[in-house]
Amino acid sequence: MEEKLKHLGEQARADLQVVGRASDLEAWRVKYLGRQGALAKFTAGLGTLAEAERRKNGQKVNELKARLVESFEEAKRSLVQERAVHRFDLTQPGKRSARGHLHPLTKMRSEIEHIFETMGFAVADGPEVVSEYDNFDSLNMPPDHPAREMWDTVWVRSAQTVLSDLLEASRLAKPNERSNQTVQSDPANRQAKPELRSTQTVGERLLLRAHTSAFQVRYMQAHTPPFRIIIPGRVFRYEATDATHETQFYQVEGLMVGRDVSAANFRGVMHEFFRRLFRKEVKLRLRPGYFPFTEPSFEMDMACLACGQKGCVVCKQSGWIELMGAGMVHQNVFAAAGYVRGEWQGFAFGMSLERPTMMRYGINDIRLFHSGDLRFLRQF
Amino acid sequence: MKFSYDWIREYAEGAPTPAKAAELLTTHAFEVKSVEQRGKDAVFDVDVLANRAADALSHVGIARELALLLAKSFTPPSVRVNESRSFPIADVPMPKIADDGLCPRYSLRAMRGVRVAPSPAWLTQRLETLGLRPINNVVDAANYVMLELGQPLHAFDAAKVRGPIQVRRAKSGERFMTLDNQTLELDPDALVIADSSGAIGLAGIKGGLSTGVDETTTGLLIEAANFQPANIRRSSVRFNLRTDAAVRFSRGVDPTLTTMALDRVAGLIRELAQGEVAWGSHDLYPNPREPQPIHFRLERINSLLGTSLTEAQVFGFLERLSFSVERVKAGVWRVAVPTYRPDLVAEEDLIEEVGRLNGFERIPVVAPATSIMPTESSEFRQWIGQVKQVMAGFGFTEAYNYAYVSAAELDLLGMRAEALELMNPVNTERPYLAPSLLARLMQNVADNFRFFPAVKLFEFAKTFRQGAGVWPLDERWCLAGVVAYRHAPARQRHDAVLEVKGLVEGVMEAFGVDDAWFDDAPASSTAYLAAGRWVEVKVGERVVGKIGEVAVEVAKHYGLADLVAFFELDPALLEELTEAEREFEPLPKYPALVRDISMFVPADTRIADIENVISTAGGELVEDMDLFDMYEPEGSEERRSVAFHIVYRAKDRTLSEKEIDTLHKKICKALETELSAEIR
Repeated sequence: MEEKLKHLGEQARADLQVVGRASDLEAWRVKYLGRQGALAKFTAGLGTLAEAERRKNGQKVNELKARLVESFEEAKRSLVQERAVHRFDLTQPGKRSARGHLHPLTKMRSEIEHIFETMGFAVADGPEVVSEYDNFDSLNMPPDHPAREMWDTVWVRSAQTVLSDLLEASRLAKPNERSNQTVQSDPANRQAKPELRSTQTVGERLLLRAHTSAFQVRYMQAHTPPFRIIIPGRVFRYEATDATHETQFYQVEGLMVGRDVSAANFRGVMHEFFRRLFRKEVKLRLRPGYFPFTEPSFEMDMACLACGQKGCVVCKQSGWIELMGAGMVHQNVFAAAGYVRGEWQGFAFGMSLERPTMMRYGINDIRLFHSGDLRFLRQF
Repeated sequence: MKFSYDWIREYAEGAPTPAKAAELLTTHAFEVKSVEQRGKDAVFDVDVLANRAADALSHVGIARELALLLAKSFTPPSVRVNESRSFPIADVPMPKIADDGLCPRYSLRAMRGVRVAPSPAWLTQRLETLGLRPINNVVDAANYVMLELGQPLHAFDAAKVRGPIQVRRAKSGERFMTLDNQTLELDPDALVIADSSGAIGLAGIKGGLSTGVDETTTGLLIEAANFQPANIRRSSVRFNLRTDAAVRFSRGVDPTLTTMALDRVAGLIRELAQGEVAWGSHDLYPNPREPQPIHFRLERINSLLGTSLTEAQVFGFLERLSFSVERVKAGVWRVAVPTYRPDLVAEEDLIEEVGRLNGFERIPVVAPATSIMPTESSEFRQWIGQVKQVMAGFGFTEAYNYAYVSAAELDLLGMRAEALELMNPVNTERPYLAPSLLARLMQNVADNFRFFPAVKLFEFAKTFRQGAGVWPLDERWCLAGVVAYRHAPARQRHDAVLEVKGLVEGVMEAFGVDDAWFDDAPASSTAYLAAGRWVEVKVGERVVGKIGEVAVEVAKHYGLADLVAFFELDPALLEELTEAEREFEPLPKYPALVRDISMFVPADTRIADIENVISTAGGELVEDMDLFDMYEPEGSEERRSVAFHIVYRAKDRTLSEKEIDTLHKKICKALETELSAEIR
């Protein structure tokens, strides 16, 4: 008897688990708790037993009934709730925790690094405060070279003498050259350059790097070709800011050196890179340029995607967007790195990170990148 | 620089439409930024490359370049001057140049009986189109020839020049008044044209008032000279006089141009102002520049460019360039470059010439054939990428800020002494490099509070400090961030610091750093964090950062009355310490039992203290504890209510209820005794 009751209880509970709708629940109630239900039948069956047995079993039946009724009430309650749930309005906003956002320049930089990495380029980086030697002299721009004007420099005041280890290694520098520069008659101080202190020598004044090329020679000093690297990094200019000009921005430098790395290889790498960056074939143009640290020097343009080369504000009516400066590394730069002249050849390029980012997302003002404005940042 | 296309056309036969010419120059020489119609003429704005200034900052130069690109002939202007036998140049004393190489060439012509008057229309129009102001027929003629040939010229009123012309360094403090009535105080680095009275011209840059040509002038001394570019450039910058002459001399001018320019201008002045030209000229050219021939190899051209040019093709280009070429052997030449191309000194320079004449677009597109073995990659960079993702996942947004701070901000940070100053800051109010990311992040909070009540930002950038070693600065990466709630009630403000703590804990957990912990701040204080309200972040014994509340004075500076929570980490150090891989822990064999414990404790009891008592009293069998409730009951400031789940588990057996009861009681007793807790 006890066994049978226990079995009945388990069965009832199991059946209750699978009840899904109100009608099913009612059916269950009738089956087990109703006047003709299983429990009632069981109770009726007790009549054949002896008095003591009958009482004992009767008690157990009542206990089971009580428990089943409680379960039934609970199931009924939850069904009612579920009905309320099913009337939920799914046009309500979803529930989630707020996600943060990576800066669009971080995303673009990651993407660019990834593309170059899949082409076997390593990613290198150098310091942001460099010596004049790093930024100019080692790149074939001795003091007073007119090309230095191409980079408006921000100079850092330094209290001590800097020993430039590169000066010893290089064959270009003349460490004992002193300049008699003094600054006069320059009230706006716009072109202020630090006076050379008697203990400093040429090439050792400090500045915020004006281009990522400032790391080329240091890298080459520490590595033997062949190699291929990109150097993404922050650079600084003495420049007034406006919608297309910034005082602090990012560049991606590239350098590939080997026995026979040619301008044709430069085109090969760049065509593949831009095809992947813009996710389609893009029309590129190579034309003459000038940098003291490359010869031949190139400028690379891209056909304006905004107007299909018909001419527009974006491309200043020319149909072309400037992408980067580049060229074949100058032998004087190899010499500064301690390589034997004529033994190696390679290409170098420098492009802005902001330009492709602005093109990718349609951003119209470069100052937004350093604004810290959440209205801008959370769009990415 | 602006050029008149009509003018260029005079020297280049068969010149095409302006648009076509502009396209050709852009793709094969230098960029034509714009073409503007001016009546029948077109004005080109050309970005002449810095190394082509010597030959291409003149109409003749551009015309020669255009003719070269068109493979057509180039007709230089005719230069014929009628000299007067009755007026020998010997009448004019020989100029003297000082010896130190600052003036490689000095040429002088003389004229007399000229009539200075306004220039005719054809001349003034040409000058005005190109942005020059007409003055009189003599000065205008000099400017005209400069624009035509690229050689700057200067005319002196001969009557006002006293004694022989000298080219020398200025004396210290020597004064000179320019044609524009500006008085300059000179120094020995400045080169001057002088007579016996003193400086009459700032060499290569500007003429002097005292010898200027005006309506009364009848006699002329016309100077065409050549100066050392570096010296002229320095003086031009120092005295802030960027004249057309200075720009040209700064880049270098062909020294062979002087005599040709003198002949041209003398002829032109005679045409416009009459007068006689003296017979002969003075020409001091002590060390004529001899261009060095360049050893030029076909195999090198094709190797560097990646082309397959033939010997015949290359020879053809060299001929077009009118370079004197000598064939040494098959595929090897000796090339002598004319003096007007001082930019061509090495083999690579000639390769560029051949390359652009052929057309850079004709260079094939060839992927390099190279080893597939990748070069090393920086683990730190990858690690940072992952950390940023984790932070974004925790709801923090990445900001990029300028690296500059003000003196006031440095004082608030307590970092004035170690900051680096800029000599020429872009923003004069922020002339220092940031030694901490806090300043700009605080500004971000203040700015964003206009539109957002909650701000959670992080930044990964370099910070800069004075250094102690050979390299005088310490430049290091910093990972920092802020959490701030605007007008938040006190509880939410405290939560801001806990969110920062949660972020740091989350980052540590994401990278499997087991022994990260937070240590009470050392006795020494930090100016920018509120005293007693910040802690150090440590991994083992190494300090990797700080978290806490920003000091009130700092917040006030940014107009913030609200609490701002801040963290800063040393990512380079942290990356080093997270290198160890995390270790798997086998799943537990035996079940755990969870008991709750609720208590009242004195209000200033720290959670860490409660946890310590529980784990000490409970020992090994306390696997974990979880604070699930905490509040300050109404009307009571002296106590708080705290509740924990305690998870008991043994590694080697199933714990019995009785064991746990005993242990649990022991823990309760310990809490009562040591912390005056009231167990509920």
